[in-house]
Amino acid sequence: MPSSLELLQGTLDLIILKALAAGPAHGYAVARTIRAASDAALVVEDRALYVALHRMEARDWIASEWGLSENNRRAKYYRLTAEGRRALREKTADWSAYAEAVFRVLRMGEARS
Amino acid sequence: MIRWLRRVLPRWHTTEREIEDELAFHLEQRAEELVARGLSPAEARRAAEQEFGNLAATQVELARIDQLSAQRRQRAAWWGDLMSDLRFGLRLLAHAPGFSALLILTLALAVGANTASFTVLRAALLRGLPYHDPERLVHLWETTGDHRSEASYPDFLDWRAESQSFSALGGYNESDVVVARPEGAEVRVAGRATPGFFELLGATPVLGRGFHPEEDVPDGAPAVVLSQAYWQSRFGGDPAALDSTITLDGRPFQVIGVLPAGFHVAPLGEVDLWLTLGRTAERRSERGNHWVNVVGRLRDGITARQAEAELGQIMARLAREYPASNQGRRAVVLPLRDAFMGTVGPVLVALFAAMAVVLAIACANIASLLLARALGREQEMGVRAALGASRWRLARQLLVESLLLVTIGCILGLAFAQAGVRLVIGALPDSLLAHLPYLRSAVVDRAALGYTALLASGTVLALGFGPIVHAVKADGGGLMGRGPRTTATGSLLRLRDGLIVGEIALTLVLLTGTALVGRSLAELLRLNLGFVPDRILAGRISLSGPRYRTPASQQRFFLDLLAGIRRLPGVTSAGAITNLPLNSGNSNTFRVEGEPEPEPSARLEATTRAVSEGYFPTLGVPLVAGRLLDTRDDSAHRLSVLVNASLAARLFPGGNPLGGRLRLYAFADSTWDIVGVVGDVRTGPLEVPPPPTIYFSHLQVPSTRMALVIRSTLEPGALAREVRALIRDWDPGVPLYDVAPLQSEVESASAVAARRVPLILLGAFAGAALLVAVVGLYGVVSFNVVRRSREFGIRQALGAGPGQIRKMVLWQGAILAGAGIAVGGVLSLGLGRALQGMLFGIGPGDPVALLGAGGLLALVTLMASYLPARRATRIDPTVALRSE
Repeated sequence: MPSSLELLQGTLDLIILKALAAGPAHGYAVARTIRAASDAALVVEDRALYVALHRMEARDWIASEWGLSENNRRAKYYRLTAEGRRALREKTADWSAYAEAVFRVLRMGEARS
Repeated sequence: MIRWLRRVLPRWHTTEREIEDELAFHLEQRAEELVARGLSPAEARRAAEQEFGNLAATQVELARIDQLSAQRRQRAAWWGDLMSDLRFGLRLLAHAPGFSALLILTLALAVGANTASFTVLRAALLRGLPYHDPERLVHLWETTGDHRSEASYPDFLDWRAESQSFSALGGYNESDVVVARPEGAEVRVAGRATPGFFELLGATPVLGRGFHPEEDVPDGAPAVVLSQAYWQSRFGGDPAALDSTITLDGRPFQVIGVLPAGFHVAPLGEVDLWLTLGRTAERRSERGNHWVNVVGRLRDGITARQAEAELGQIMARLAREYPASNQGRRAVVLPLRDAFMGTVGPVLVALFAAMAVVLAIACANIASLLLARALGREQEMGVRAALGASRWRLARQLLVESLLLVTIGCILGLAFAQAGVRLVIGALPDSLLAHLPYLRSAVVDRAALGYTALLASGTVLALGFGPIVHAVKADGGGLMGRGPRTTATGSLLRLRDGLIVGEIALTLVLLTGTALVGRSLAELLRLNLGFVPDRILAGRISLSGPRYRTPASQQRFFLDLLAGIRRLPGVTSAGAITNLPLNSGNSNTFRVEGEPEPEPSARLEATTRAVSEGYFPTLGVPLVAGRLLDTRDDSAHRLSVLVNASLAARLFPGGNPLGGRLRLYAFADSTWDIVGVVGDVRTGPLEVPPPPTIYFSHLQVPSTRMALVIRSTLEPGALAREVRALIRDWDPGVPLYDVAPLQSEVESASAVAARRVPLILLGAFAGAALLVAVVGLYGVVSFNVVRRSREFGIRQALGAGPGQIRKMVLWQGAILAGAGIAVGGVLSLGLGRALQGMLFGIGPGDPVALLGAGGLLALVTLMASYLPARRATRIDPTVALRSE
């Protein structure tokens, strides 16, 4: 297995929301999307993925519906709600600001050396 | 419960199965992907499961998340429904603002009246006996036949020494004392208590101590205990007050203690100072002198009855030993509660009960109005039931509607309650309030709020009940099809008509009661008093101390003071008398000289008063014959008296007693010349006709206490200041007290006060009942107009004029009102008899009161039916006929 990074709880929610922003998807597809988009750098534990999905559903960020998968199997599809969209926007802004701030600190160290 | 489980459990199963399916799909997809990479299906399956980790634990965790979320959603939905019910209810209320306001106002009045009476009752019952373990406290009396009296001091001492039933016995009494102050003497109420009396009640002095036994003897150290209020007002709450001295009745007393705030002995009213009971030397040994109020604390396990039996044995022994004083005397033991609140308790309980009845009627009334509206909403309910609303949902909506009404009504009611408490307390005369100090501070507190809340929830259920029963029945198809009214509806309507008749009857009873008491009060105030009270200021003076030991010094003081007062500018005349009119007091037995000596039991009795010169002219009492008493009728001259016209007419043929002589048994060796006859004055209670009265000159029968009467053109306050200044110049140790216009003596006469309170209460009840009944009748009649609008439309289309339709509606209201008035009239006659003791100058069937109350009610009920009747004539026939 390639080296992977542990994800913080809030970050997991954020990337799941991002994965669902493109359109409804079942849990497995979400996991695949995240892995592909991060070039397998981010590996989401299956258990953590489903717990996060159900929590966010309870929080009304996402809604679910049973449908048929590509290979004609019954699968549970999740989609963003309006609230979920708003949460995604807010979390993205927060995370970016946070990451930039961290990078600034890190670059400052490089410039001096 | 079972049904609930069945409804909820399958959903859990579904949740769990769905989670299983969801995770199984994930594993399959992963396995398929691995197979595509070349693993065998079995290996792929195993690898997928391994990757996933603990599948079972994940399932449990997801199920828990989903379950909590489902519960939260359910609650949210319930609140959402409730909110929409509330909004719907508010819209309904706002849709008919007049109707809603009427309902809320009725409810608010009823709730307010109830909470007010609860507050007063609670203040009286709970705070009336602010003592430790009050249920074990008893009051002891002596009785002869049916006459109850206080105990004599020696009897009290024997009880205390011999009885085993009490853990403690104490005695109390009261008297006025003159307190010397630098700015002038004042008269204060002093309680007198035995050592241990405060401790017996459970009161501990907050400062210093209670009395010691050696202070309870005639020559013991003079000690005084202060009430909290007096300590605050005179010493500003300074602890240094302890061990200081106060001059009482000319003697220095040492302050030994201060009582806690709120300590009071209800029968005494507001007491400022406490002295020891046993200091009054001359009364200590008199077994025939009954003046000690005895309070006891029963030992554990002993009942009042057992204690009474034991005292009975002691009294039997005392009767044998001291037959002269104790023959036929027994002892009774009553709960202290009865003794302290005997007269007030039942009145308050009756007040409370009456308020409860008003509330019940108001509720019945509002319920019938709501029911009427529910009948009108049959169609709405039917439609909603058909659209799938559950019975419970419909019932809840109706409950929420009544909850809304009740909540608004209660909030308003609490405001009314606070005002009501003030009204009730304001209606009580000061003399009564002095004995019920706790009433002054009665406020609508947390307990009253709780009571109101309880009342409100009961009312919500009671109000919702009728419409709910109706709504729950309402899901049949008959309602949609507007089938015939059910028999249940018919009986509800009859019940409602019965309620209205009952309300009107009760209202008439209360109105008649108000009219009867009001007429009695008017008759009382119209009485010929025998004197002219306006523009007269009265005030009392009490002489004490070494300066006024001799009768001559007392007489000199009053003569000089009256002369000084007469010289004040604005004063027309002034005089003094031992007891003001309308105050009971001294009487003496006498006989006319020359008549045979009667049996002791058949002796004539007359009210006796000592007066100064100027008393009769000041009060405007006419001289009928002879002359008035003046300054010459002193100890150097023959003993002379005046008699009133009643005595003259009764005892002297032709009513001319001049030259006659009286012998008074109290003055065994002297005869008194009758020198004049004066007009009758109501010397005793207001309602009692003037008794035979004999007037002495204060120069021949001296008194240390006299009441001044001053007729002047001055404002009472200014005059009082002038007189006070005059007295201070003469002797600052003499107090002037109870200064008030004589007119207030008339207005505060117990006969007037005893009727004014019930009059105000009855009037308030009658007003509330009238409002409730009118609202009820208005509701019923207007509801029927709505129900019959189709019929009226047809009638109009067939040519009936507005007059005919108006008459039909009015007639319906008149039948209900007439039935109520007839029933109420009969009940009123009964009430009149029950009120007999309170009536004055009129009979229980006084036609003015009966016809007045009946007429007023008839007029008001007619108006209540007239409004809907006018509406009935405005029904547009085309609209009414098209509505179906």
